[in-house]
Amino acid sequence: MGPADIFTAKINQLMSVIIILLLASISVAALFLVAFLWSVKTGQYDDEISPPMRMLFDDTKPVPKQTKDPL
Amino acid sequence: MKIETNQTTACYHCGEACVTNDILFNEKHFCCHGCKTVYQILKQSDLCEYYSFNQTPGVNQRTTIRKDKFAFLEDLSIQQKLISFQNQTETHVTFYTPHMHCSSCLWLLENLHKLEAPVISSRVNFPKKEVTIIFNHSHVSLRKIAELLTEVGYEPYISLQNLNEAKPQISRSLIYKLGVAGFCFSNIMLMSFPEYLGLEAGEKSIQTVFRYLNLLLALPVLLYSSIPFYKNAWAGIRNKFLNIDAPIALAIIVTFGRSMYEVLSQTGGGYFDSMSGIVFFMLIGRILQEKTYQQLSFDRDYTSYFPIAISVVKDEKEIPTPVPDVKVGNTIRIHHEELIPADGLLTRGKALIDYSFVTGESIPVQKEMGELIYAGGKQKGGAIELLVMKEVSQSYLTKLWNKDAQESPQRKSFVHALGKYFTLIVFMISFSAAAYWFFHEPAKAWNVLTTVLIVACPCALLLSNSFTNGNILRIFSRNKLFLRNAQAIEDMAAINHIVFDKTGTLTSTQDQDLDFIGEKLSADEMNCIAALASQSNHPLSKLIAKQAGNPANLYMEDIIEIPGKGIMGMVNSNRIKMGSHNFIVGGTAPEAISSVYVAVNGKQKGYFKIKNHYRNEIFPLLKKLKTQYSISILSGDNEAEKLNLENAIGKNATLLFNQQPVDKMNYIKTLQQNGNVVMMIGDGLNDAGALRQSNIGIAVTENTNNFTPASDAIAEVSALTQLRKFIRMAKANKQIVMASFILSILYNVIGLYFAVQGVLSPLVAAILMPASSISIILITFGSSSLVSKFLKLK
Repeated sequence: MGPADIFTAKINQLMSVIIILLLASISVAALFLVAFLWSVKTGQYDDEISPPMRMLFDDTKPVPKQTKDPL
Repeated sequence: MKIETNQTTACYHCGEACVTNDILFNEKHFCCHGCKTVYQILKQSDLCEYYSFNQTPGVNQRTTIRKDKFAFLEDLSIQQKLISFQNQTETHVTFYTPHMHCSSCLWLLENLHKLEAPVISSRVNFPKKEVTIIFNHSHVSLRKIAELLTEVGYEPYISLQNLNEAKPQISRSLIYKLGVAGFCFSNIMLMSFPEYLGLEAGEKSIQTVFRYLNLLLALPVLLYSSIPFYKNAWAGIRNKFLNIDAPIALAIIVTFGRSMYEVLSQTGGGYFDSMSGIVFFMLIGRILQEKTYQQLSFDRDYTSYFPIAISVVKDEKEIPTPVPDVKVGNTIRIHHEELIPADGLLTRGKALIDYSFVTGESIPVQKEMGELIYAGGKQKGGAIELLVMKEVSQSYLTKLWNKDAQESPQRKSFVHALGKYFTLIVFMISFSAAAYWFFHEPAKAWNVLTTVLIVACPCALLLSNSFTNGNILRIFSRNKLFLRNAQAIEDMAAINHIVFDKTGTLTSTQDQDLDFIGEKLSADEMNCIAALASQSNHPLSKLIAKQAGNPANLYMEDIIEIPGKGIMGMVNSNRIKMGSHNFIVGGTAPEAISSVYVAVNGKQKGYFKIKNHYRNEIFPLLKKLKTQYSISILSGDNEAEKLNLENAIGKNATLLFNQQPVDKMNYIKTLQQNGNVVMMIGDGLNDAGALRQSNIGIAVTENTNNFTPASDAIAEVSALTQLRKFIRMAKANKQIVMASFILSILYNVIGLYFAVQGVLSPLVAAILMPASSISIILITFGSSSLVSKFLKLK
């Protein structure tokens, strides 16, 4: 067995750590899936037209209300 | 009696022309008191930013609302039905406000708290056109909120019947399924990479782990996300026919089965990524399709989709009112041949109702005064007035429109034929390939059978047709052409002959010169004539009714209108008769001009001379159309205009005059018998038969109640000048679908090339599937939008 083969064998031994990585990444992805399903359920995507418009409105300072003139 | 047109200014609030009034306030013009009042209210609360977001964002406020309109909201039991939440300090209520249409509306409705202090906040749901208001009920009542909304021009449309019905919800279950499929698909792909890139050599155990994980991840896709396809395929099979979902459902099941077998027997990695890929992309396609159609049908059922207006009678004047604005308690006038849009009690006139659109029964039914007349019937006779009892249900009118379509012979799209054959061909290929290998190399037979079924994807059939159709229908409706259904697009693409009706279609009924030639008529006689004219819906009668005199409060009876000839009746105990020369005097007219002859109490008084005023840009349109299609113009008038028309559009067009409605229909029939595909464009009044007979009939409306279920399309006047572009777009539809078919066949051929040889690796399958689906979605959706931009449609 040359050094290259020993090296490959070692790598292959340690590869099992990948299983843990795999499970971890799938769990995180699953969390995102749950978050997505929850956000759809609570209706966040129902109205897609008003948020873009709403973004562009200015916040104006409240003006003291004038008394109504007789029309 | 010449009427001059005024130079009109546009109202600052709603944008309409200030014709009757011109109110000047704060250096701005308003067309009526209502619009000015809204401006005043906004100015006082410093909300004039409303006008800065869009030009003339308001809606016309001409029809005023009764003061007690919302009195019913003081009733507690009704409040309970409307309120969604209430505690000590606040009440939540959601109102449907159909007048909302732009960002200014959104801004104003969410700034209601500035107008009225007890309003705490408000939130708009734009697609549903609803506003949810949270207010302090101890300082302001529900009724006052509704009145406030009305004052600024966004009257809530509260229909107690609709309270129990749920508004259409965009289906979320498909989105859940898509989320799950996406999650599984991406993770499966990730974990398939080692297999593709050659893990074989090393770790057997890790490879097994990857494969089993893939299997597990594929389970939710198989059992949950694919349910819509199973359902549809099963529904088709139960009716003994293979629809497009059948091969997809089959492919999903076969792929999973084969892959599971491979993993469990440790002979391979399976095709899980292809399987979840198919499901993912097909679901995307289905959601986009549903969204397009749902938006379309929501528009049709709940908003002012059709440009129909109904004549509401106020102080003896007819005010054209759009459909959602017609309320219970309004009096509406229905003329001869007009469709009754809402249930109402007969208050005036002789009602002879033809319910053939609803029941199929063509014998008209006579109705007594005070009797309830149901919507959907057509009035045959003089004009009647109804007291509206139930609001206009536009969804009911849409149903009528589509019902008529079902009765006419079903013309199936060419896609259906292709869909049927697809499955059969795929089965044939797979079985014959398997049989071939069975005799040469039996091991491969099963492999080949399943891979062929896996790789053959009818994506194009499923996606392209419905996408392009949905997209095109929406583009058309944005440009004011409303088609009945998607089949109409194909009909439009196939035409080679266009027939135009002259009066009302080519000519405008608004600005025309009217002259009376003959014995001088007294004011009283003029009023009687105007009153009789207002009973008819013929374009010339409408013109006379508007300009001849004041038809207020005259007693009328015995009104008889004969289409193509004229109208007669008793007005204020004068017997008045109006119509063509043939009808009044007898024989053909001496002068060839557009005329309406009048006889009062048996004595011929003279005639109205009417100058034809053709719509702007109609002649250039006709000239351009002539280069590609055969044109005919049919008119009920005499030959007066023949020279004019010939000079304007040249000699090649067929011009026919003195046409009765039945002549028009027969003319189209003859054309069709000679092998032509005919499009008819008319105003929907006397042309119902011709519109129905033609391959595609378009009814042109101009702010009047011209809705006739006999037409395949309704067009606003402005859409008429773009006719060429619409036909071009309809033709493009077929070309786009064909292109996507060819692309899909290409993909299938490549895939089958590998599958039939038994060398289809999971990698190749995984690349082909998404590539074909994505490219087809892009091509169909993208092309139709590109074509519309190229044609300069909105």
